[in-house]
Amino acid sequence: MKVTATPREDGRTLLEIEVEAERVSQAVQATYRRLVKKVSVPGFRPGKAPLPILDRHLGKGYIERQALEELVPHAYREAVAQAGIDPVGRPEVSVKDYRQGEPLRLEVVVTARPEAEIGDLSDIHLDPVEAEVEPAEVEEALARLRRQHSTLVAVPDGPVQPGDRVLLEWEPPGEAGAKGPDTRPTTREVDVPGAPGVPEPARPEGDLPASLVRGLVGAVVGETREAEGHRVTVREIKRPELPELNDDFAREVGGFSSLQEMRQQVENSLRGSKLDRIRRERETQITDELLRRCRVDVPEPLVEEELEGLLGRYRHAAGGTLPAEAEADLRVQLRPLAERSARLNIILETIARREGLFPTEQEMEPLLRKVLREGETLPQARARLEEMGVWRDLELSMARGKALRVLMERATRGESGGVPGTDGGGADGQGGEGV
Amino acid sequence: MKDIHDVIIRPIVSEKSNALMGQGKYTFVVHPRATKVQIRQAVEELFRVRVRSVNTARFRGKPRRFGVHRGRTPAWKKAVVTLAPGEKIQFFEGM
Repeated sequence: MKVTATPREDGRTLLEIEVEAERVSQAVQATYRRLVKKVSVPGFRPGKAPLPILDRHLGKGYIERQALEELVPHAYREAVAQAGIDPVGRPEVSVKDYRQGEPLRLEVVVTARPEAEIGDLSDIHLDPVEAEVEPAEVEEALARLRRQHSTLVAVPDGPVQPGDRVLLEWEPPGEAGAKGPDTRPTTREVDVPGAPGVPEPARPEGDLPASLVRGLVGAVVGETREAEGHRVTVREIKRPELPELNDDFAREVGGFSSLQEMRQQVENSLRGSKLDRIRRERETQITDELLRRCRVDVPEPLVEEELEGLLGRYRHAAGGTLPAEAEADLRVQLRPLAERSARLNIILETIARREGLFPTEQEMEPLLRKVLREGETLPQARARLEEMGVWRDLELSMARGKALRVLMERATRGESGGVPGTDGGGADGQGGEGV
Repeated sequence: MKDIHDVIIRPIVSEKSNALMGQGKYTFVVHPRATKVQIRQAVEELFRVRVRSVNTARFRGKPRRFGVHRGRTPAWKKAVVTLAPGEKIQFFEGM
């Protein structure tokens, strides 16, 4: 295969590819052999119709077109490898007047993956942060668990104590005290804060004021209280009967052998989520720095690719498709995010390339094992992923993860009890999955 | 039958006829009343080739029933035309 690469003025590259006639004819024969077994031609047993007859049966030139459709992507992949181009986005491929028995000539316009101009990163510093879990936090988490597994018992008269669950009749503020149909009381159930395991009430727009919920302590059934124009009447009081915090509770709730083990797991879980949060914050810190210090021109196809990826998530969430108008709006809204992400990707890829952080075959193996199909060997799985065009994406994504990890390690070097890796693997052995 | 185009109705393309072509034998559906001489003349004139021999076979229509209606598929005649050595019918080439 002959390949000539010519840079174009718009920064893209024109590849002129010539595939030998012999290879084209092999591709046609392969397509014929595949099709002849499937297509039934009158007068012939399956698999016995000669090529010209099968071709006429399917429509003149069909086999050839089919063969080229399979051959062109292969030729393209080989050509970019031969020309040493790492392409991004979709190539523009055109077949130059092909005639049977002659070499196949293709013209492909590709965008090469750009390199970023990496600025000085030596003085990026991340403050050391420890993920310490206070004993009180563990106790609070255990109290929440006890509350979740409690039995609610009605207290006929009251008064309300912190930790009680109270059924309220609630009248939101009406307009100038008017008692219209819109201000009819509704019932609400609230947990009165002040006891371990009961969260402080959050107040979304128009909801019950937190002060009113807190101020319910001491109220009896039938009593009415008011705050900020809201009026509530206590209808029912229920008090949780908390299970005792002992080994039996640990066994029942989480299948632990002892309370001590449960405590340890809760602590690990809390530490894990703290570390996760810190890791995310640090990632943002370092990526902000990278974007500030490095220069990169992002080619449009890369932004488009990112944008498609983001839109894909929204489409998925919406059950497959989005209304055209909503999609157009989202495109505009998500564009800055896509641009940022594309820029960051290029920066990290450039760093990974310079520092030799691209994954080795060995590092890719676990990933490959995950997608292995039944009866498939590792090289076959890799070939399949390459064919699908996702292998390179996987390599790049892994390289980016490694680059970010290395940068974070450098920025926090010398710090003890650092932050786990940035690959989101959660394989630090500490972050429990929660009880 | 006035015209040679009435004698030769259509070529038969099947696995068997395809195999026979390797021996210089070409198969056609011909007019049920066409004679071997007429077939020879028609092939020679239509395809500009020399014919060595003609073998024919008649096929009676098969009985068919469509509900209460009984009938037969049309009767037809097949001709296997052997050409003189070295002769070829261009029409079949590349088929």
